[in-house]
Amino acid sequence: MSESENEQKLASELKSRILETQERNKLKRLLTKRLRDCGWKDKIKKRCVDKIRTEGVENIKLDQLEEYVLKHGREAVPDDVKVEMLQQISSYLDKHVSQLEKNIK
Amino acid sequence: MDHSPSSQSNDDVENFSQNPEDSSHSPGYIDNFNSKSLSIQPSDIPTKGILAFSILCDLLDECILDVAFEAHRETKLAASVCQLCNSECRSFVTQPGLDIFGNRPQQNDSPKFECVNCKRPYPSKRYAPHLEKCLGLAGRSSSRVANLKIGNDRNPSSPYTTLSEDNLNQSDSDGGLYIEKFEKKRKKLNGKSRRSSPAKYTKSKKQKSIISETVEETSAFSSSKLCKCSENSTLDSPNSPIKRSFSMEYSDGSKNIQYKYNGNSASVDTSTQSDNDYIDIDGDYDTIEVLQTSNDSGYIIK
Repeated sequence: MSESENEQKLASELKSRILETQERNKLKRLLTKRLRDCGWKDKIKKRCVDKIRTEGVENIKLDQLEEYVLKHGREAVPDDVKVEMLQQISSYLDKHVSQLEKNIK
Repeated sequence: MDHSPSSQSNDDVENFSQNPEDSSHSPGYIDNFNSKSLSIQPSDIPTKGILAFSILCDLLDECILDVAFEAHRETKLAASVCQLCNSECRSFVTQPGLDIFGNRPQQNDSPKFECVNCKRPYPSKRYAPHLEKCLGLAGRSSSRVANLKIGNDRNPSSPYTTLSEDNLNQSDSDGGLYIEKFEKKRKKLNGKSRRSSPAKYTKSKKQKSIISETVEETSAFSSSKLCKCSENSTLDSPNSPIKRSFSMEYSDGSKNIQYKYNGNSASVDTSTQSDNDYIDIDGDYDTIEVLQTSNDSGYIIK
């Protein structure tokens, strides 16, 4: 269906648009700020360091660490941070989706 | 795991199904963030919510990995010997309640003496200076404060106090002083406002601030705070204008300004180099000519 193809195209356009206009950098900076302020960063860092120490600094593989930390990091993020970020992202999408639709058509 | 920022919506489904966590106390759509499976098919039209979700997931993964790499780097460096000084200078203690060497912070075991005036304990080193201030022998403010204290302690009807009897009846013994200060301030303000009209004042202030800003910027270029200045120059042909871009990082890492200019005019380039703010010096697009000095890190702006 050309409808859904269009939509998918729109979606990927939006994603790359976000990257291009440095909106992504702004969003990332906001996210790191929020995570740092609520203490998430310190908690996760401590977890990482503990995990590394238990495995041994020489023996730790980055893949293992990645897997471990992604699992715990995602669920440790507080809800209000998630909600705020989602709101920011969707307001950005609202602003630009109409523009992009015009461009595609 | 796909970390590319412009991943298709198909990848989103994989991302969601990789989250193995079931436990979540969060309401509403946030449950989906941690749930095992979603009833989303790749052929579904990506809605705004799903798109926002996937963007958030990407961002979050990036942040998590940043923290992980930082932690790994720190522990690895702390364990090994530093290359410059051949000692373990990168390892330090991060426990709460200790300093970075592992020592306990409070080391107060000096003999304390009681002040004869105010009866408070002081270590021997601080006793004499405190006594000076306490008795009003140190300077202007301490003599004033001490006199007030003395005035409060003594008989109110004594003729030697600096306060009038009316003020003593008030609860705040500093009342007289406060009124003095207020009068002084009022006189000062009145004098200033008579001198120039508000419009003139703000205009001259603006001009001054613009001048000072540009002076600051140009002096900042040549200041010694500059520690990293990397240049990428591309010369297409001998006759084409020289295109250069370089970025500066100040020693505290706070600013990262990137300028891009060719031989004739400066332009702000929106090409993707992450985390750089593109600013022009004073807001309009000036012409900047660059003379290359002998060492690559220097430059002169006309």
